[in-house]
Amino acid sequence: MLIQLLRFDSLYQIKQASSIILLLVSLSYGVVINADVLGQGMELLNINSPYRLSYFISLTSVLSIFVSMMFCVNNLLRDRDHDFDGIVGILSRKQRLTSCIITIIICTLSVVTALSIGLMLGLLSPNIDQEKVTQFSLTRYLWPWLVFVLPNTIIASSFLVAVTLIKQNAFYTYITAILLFIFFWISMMFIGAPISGSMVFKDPSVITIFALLDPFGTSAFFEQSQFWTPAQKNERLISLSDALLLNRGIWLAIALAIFLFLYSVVIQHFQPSETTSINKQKKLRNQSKEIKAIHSIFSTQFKKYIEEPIVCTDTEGFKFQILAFLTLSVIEIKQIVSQWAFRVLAILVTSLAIVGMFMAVGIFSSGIFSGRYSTTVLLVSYSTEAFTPLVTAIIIFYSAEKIWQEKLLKADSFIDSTAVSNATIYGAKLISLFFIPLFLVALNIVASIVFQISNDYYRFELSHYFSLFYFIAVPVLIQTVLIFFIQMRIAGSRFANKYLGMMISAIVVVLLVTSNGLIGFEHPLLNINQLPSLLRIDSDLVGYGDFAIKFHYLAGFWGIFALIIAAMTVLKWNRGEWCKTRYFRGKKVPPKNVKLPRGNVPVLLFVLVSFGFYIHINIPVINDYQTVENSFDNKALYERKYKKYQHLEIPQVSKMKLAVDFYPKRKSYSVNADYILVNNGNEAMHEIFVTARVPLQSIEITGATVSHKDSTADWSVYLFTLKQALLPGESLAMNYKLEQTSSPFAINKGIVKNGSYINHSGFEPLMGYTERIEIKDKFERESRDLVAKVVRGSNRTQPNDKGKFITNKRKFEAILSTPIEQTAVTVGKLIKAWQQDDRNYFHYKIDQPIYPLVGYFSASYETKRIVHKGIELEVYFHPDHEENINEILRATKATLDYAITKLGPYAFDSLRILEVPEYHPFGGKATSGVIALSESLFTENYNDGADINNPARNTIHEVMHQWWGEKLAPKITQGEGVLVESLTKYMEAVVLAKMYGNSMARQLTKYTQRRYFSGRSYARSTEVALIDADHERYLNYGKGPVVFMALKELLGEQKLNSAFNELIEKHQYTLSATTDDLLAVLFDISDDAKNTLIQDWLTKVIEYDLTINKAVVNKLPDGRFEVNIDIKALRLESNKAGLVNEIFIDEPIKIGLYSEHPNSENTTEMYLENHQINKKYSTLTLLVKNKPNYVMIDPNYTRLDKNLINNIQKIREK
Amino acid sequence: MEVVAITSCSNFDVNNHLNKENQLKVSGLSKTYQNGQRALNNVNLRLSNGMFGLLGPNGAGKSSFMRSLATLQPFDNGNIVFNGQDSQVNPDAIRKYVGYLPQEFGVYPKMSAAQLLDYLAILKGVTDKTTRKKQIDYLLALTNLTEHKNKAVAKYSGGMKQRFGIAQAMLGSPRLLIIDEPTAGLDPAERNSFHNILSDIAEKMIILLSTHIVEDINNLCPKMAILNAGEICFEGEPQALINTLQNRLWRKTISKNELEHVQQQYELLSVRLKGGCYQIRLVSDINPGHGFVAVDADLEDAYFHTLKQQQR
Repeated sequence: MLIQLLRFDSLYQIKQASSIILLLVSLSYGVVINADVLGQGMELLNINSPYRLSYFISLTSVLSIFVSMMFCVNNLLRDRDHDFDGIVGILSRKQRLTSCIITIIICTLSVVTALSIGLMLGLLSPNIDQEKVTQFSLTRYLWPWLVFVLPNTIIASSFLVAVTLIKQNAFYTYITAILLFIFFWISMMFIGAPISGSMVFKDPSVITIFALLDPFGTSAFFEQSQFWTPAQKNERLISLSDALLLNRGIWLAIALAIFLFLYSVVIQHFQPSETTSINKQKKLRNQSKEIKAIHSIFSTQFKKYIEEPIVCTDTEGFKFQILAFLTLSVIEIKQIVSQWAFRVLAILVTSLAIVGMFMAVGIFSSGIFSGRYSTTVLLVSYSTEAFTPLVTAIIIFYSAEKIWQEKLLKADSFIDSTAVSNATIYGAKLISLFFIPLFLVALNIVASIVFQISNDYYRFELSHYFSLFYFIAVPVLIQTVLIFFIQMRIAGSRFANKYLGMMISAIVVVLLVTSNGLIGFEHPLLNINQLPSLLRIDSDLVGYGDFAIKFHYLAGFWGIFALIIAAMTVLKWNRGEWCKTRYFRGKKVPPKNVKLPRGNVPVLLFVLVSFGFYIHINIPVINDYQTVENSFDNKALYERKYKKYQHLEIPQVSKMKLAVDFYPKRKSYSVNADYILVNNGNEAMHEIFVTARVPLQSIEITGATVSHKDSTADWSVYLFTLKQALLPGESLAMNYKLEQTSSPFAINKGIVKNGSYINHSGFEPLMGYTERIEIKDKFERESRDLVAKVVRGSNRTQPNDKGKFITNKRKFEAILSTPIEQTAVTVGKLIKAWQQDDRNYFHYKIDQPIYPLVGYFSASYETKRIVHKGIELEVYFHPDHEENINEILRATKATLDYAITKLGPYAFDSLRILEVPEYHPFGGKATSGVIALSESLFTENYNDGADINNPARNTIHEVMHQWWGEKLAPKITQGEGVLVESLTKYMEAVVLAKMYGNSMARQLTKYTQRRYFSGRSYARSTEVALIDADHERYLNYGKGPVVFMALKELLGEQKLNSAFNELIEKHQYTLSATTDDLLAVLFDISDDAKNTLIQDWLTKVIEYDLTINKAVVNKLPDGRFEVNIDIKALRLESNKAGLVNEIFIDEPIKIGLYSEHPNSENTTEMYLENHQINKKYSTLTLLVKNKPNYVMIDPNYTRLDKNLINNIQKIREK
Repeated sequence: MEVVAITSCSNFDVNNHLNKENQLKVSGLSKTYQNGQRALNNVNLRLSNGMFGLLGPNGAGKSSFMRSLATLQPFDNGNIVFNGQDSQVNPDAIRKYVGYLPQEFGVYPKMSAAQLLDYLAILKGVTDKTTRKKQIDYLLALTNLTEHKNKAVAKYSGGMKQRFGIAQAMLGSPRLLIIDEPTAGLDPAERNSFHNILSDIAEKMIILLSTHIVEDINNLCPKMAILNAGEICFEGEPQALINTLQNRLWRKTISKNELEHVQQQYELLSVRLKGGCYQIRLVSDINPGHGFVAVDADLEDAYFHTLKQQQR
C-alpha cells in the first residue's frame, strides 16, 4: 500500500508546475555559480576544488529549508486546502503520512541535488577558465552531498513536517522556515564566516559552540576548514570528524527523534484539527437548531411591529469610496494583526533588531574589541540590517494571503458584487500590506529607544528615527506593489496557485536584488528599485551626505514606477471569475470604473520617462553608469597605446605648493598646484608622459609643449615635449589645476557638507606610465588580446610601479580656504590664518621634506589642544564626540613617550588628530604630523571592559606611524608593508602592554594570529616570505607583528629597539630602507644560532604546531612541586606550491606555569622561562614552590600556530 | 444618486424608488467555460418586480447565470440590461442595486454578524451611520438573528448562516435580489422560515431564486423558468407549466418485480417508491389502459416532463 501511495504522491507532486520550476531554478543556479566567480578569496582555487564544491554545496543545502517548506505545505495541507480531508481522513493515517513525508524528503532532496548537478554541468560552460578545472571526480560532489545535503534535508524537513502536522497552518510552517534560516544566518555572523562579509574568523571558543549549534553543519564546515591554505583547499575533502561528526550526529538524532515523536504521539493519538472542527460544527449545529425552532414561530408575525427603515444608498460619490476604503483597510489590517502568526513575526523581527543592537554595541564580538556607545545612528544602522529581506519575505507571504483570503473563504462574491471600485479594494489591501513594514519600523524604533535607556544613553535623535519610515520603509513599499502585482497576475492566470505566486514573486525579488551582477550594466535606472542602503553610511559628521539625495531621486523614480504598477494592478484586477482571458469572446467594452487608471498609465509613463531622462542627464558619464566592460576597454586601450612610454624617465617632485579651496555647500573643491620637477636620474629627459586619473582643468610644464593629449572616462594622458632637455640634477616648474565635484549620482565621499577629507594621492597626476591601470584579470586580458601579465619576481632593490613615482621626500606648502564656519587643516606649521570674502584661509608650511601623500581636511570642528614634551597635540572632533578625547590623548602621549625614548625624536612640532566620517575604509590614516581617525573610534566605548581598548589601539597605531612610515619612509617595493605596518602593529601591542598590561597585548597578538591564518586561507596569491610581502594584509598586519613579537622574546626588547633605531637613523632622509636593511640590522645584534631563526621567520614560510599533551604535578617530600610536562612541538614549512612539510625544530620557547587559567584575570604567573625545544616530542620536568594548576607553552603567542587552545593544559595531580 | 444623510432623503423620493417597477432584461446570454463546457446558451429572460424562480437540475448553468447577473463573471455573448443600463458597459449600475446570496459562501473568521453586516453595509453604500444601524437591526430581527448578532458567523449553523446570507443580501436597498440555491442543505423548518422572509419582501424588488427543489418554486414564485443544459426550456407561470399536462398524466401502482417489464414497455415520466410498491407515472394523450388511472399533474410532474422533452 505504501508503494502505491508513494506513487500517487509523487505523481501529484510532479503535476505541480511549481515543482518543475523549482527544479529548473535550482539546476540553473548551480550552473551560474560556476560561470561566475562567486565566493570570496577563491582566486587560487580550482573551479572544482573539493573545498569550493563543499562550500557551495553545504551553503546551498540550507535552501532545503525553503524547498521543504513548500513541499510540506503542498503535501501535508493539501487535503485540508482542497476539502479532501473528509474523504481521505478515514484511510490509514500512518501510511498516508509516511508516504507524504517520504515524498517531501525525496522532492526536497531532488531540488537541492539539482544544484549539485548544476555545479557539475557548469564545468562545461564556455565561460569558465578551463585551466582552473582539474580532472572530474564524482566523490567531490557526492561526499559533501552525503555530509550536508542529505542530512540537512532530513533535519529541515523534520522540523517543518512536525510544525505543519501539529499546527495545520501554513503560517507556522513559514515562520519555522524563516526561524531556521535566521538561526543559520546568525551562526554565520557569529563565527565570522566569509559569507557574512567578515575577514577574520571569530574566537575559537565561539566557533566551537556554533559548530555544534548550527543545525546545518555549515559552521562546523568553516570551523574545520577555516585555516586551510588554498593548496589544501584544492586537495582536501572535508572530513567527517570532530565537531562536524558530532554536529551531524546530534542533529540527525534530533531529526529522527522528531519523526519518532510524530509517529508515536502525533499520528497515533493526535486529533487532527480538521476532525475537531467538524465535531465542533456539529455540536453548534445541534444547539442552534433548538434556538431556531423557537424563533421560526415568531418570524411570520415579525413585520407587524417593526417598521422597515428607509434606506438611502450612495455609491456614486467620492465619499462612498473613501468610506469603503477606510472600512476595508481596517478589516484588512485586523485580519493581519489578529493572527498569532503576525505577532510571532513581529516579535521575531524585533528580536533580530535587538540582536543587531547588541552586535552594534559589541556584546557579541566576544569581548575582544571595544564596543560602541548606543548612539541612534549606530543602533539604527545595525538593527535594520536584516529588516528588508525579512520584511520582504513576510510581505511575499501576506500578499498571497491578501489576494487569496476572500477566494478561499468563499466570501469574495460579497465584496465583488458591490459597487466598491477595484481601486478601492486594491488600495485597502495594499494599505494593509504597507502597514506591516511601517508597524515593524515603529516597533524597531521603540525597541531602540528602550535599548538606549537601558544602556544609560539619553540622546535620542527622533528625526533620525523617523527618517527610517522613509529610508527603510519606502524601498519595501515599492517592492510590495511589485510583489502584489506579480501574485495577482498569477492568481488570475491558468496556473493560479497561492504558493506558485509566492515562489515566483520571491524569485523575482531575488533576481532584482542580484540584477546588478546579472545585467552588468551599472546605470542606476536599470536596476529596479535598487535604492542605496543608507544606514551603514550614516555619520554624525555628514549625515547621509549625497546618498540621501540620490535616494530621493531614485525613490521618486521607482515610486512613479510603483504607481504605474499599481494602476496596472487595478486595471487587471481579479474580480468575480479570476481566470477569464483565454476564452473570452465577448465584446471588450471598457468598464467604466477602470477608466481612471487606464487614462493615468500613459500620463504616469510619460512622467516616469521624463524623470528618468532628467536623472540620466544628471549622471556624469565618467562615473557611475559606465559598464565594467567599458572600463576594461578603456584600460586595455591605455595599455595598448601607451605601454611604449613605460621606460621613459620619470621626473621626481622636489617641492609642491598647493592652493586647495573647499566649497562644501556646492560639494566641490579645487586644487591649484605648483610643483618643482627634478631629474634625479642619470640621463637627460626629452619627454614627460603624464597620466591623470581625475580630469585636470589644465596642466603646464615650463618650457614644454603638449604634443599628445588623450582621455577616456578612466584616464587622461598628456605627452610633453621639452624644448630643452632636462639634464640630470636640473629642475623645472609644473602647474596643474583641477576641480572635483560630488553629485548624487557620482558621489565623491571626500567632499561633503561637513567633514571633508581629501587625500593627495586621490588627485595627483602621475609623471609616467602606470601599470596600475592595466587589467589584471587574466580572462579579461585574453578576451582583449593582451599578452599575459608577467608577475614581477622578487626584486627589493627597485621600487615597484607605485614606488617609481615617489622616490624622495618633498618640500610642502599649502594655502587652504574654506567657508567661515569651517576649519581647514593639513600638514605643516600654520604660519598664517586670515579671513577674506567670508572665507577662512590657512597657510601651512613645513620645513623638512616629507612623504608627500598628505590629507586635506575641512569641517566645523571642536578642538582640544595640549602641549606634551614641547609637542603641540591637537584633536579636531565632532562636538558630540568628546567621550574618548582624553583617552585618545592619553594613548598619544604614551606612544610618543615610548617612541621618543626608543626610536629617536619626533620629527615635527605638532601632532594633529582629526575625526573623519566613518565611511572612509580605514580606522586611521597617518601623514606627517597629521592623523585622520575614523569617526567610529570616537563612538566606541573604550571603557567597556573588552579585551582590547580599540580607540587606544588605533591611536597608538597611527601615532607610531610617525616613525614607521613617516620618519622611516621605506623604498616603495616588496617588504614596504613590513617596515610600515608590521613594525607599527608590533609596537602597538608593546605600547598597549605598557598602558594596560601584558594581557591586552597577548589578546591582540592572539587575534593577529587568527588574522594571518584566516587571510592566508582566502589569499588571492600563493604565500610569500615576509620580506617579500607586497600588498598581502594578512602578512603585513597578521604575520609580521607576531614575528616581531617572537624577535622581541628571542633578542630582548632593548636590543631589538637599538636595531630599529639604527635603521631609522640610516634611512630617515631618503626613501631607501628595504626589508634587506632590516635583516642586516637584526643580524648585527644577534649571533649565528639566532640568525638562523631570524632568517627562517623572515625569509621562509614557517608555522608551528605547539601542544601540551599532558601535565602532571607531584608534591615532593621537601614541600616543592614537581611538574612533568609532555610537549609536542612541530615546525612546518610551506613550499612554493603552498604545500606544508614538517621540518626540524631547535629553538627556545617559553613555558609558563599558572595558578589559574592563563587567560583569566586573576591568574598569577608562577614560572616563565625559555626552554630549548629540539624534538617533536619532549618531556620537561619543572620544580616550583607553589602548586600550579595550568601550564602554557608560548604564552605570548609568538609562534604562528593554528591551534592556540592546545597550548594550554590543566595540570593533573598524580 | 447623492444622498448625504437620511434627513435629506425626502419621503416622496424614497417611496418612488422603493416602489418603482424594476426591469431586468437578459438577451442572448451565452457563456462557454475554458474547458469547453457550455454553461449558458442564448438565454433570454425578462423580469420585473416579484419573485421569479429558476428551476433546473444540478449543473444546468443556474449558478453561471446568477453570477453573470451579479457581474461576477463575464460572458461571451448577449447582454444584461437592468433598468436600462447595460451591465457590461457600466457594471456599477447593476452593482449599486444588486443583493446577492451565493450558493456557497464563507466569512472572515472571528467576526460577528453585526460587525460583518456593518462592514458590508458600508460597501453597499449605506454611508450614513444611523441608517446603517437601523437597517442592520431591522434585518437581524427579520432574519431572527438579533440574539446571535454578536456571535461569530463562521460558527453559525447552516440555517443561521443562510439567514445571515439573506440579511447581507438585503443590505442597502437592493432592487434585484439574486439568491442562488438558498435552501440546499436546510432542514424543513429552516426552509419554511426562509420562505417566509422571502415572501415578505418580494413585492418591492425583483427576486431571482434558483433552486433544484420544485417545492421552493411551488411555494413562492408566481413566475418561473426552467434552465437545463444552459438553455431556457420553459418560462411562465407554474400553473401554465402544469397545464401542459392537463388530462395527459396517468398513474399506476405496481409491485417491485413488475418494474423492469413496465420500464421496457412504456416511457415513464417518473417512478416513486411508496409503501414498498412503485407508483409509476406516464404522459399520454390517450388512456394507456392496463390499470393506469388519470391523475392531476403537479409542478414536479410538469418539470420532469419538460426536462424529458428537452432531452429528446
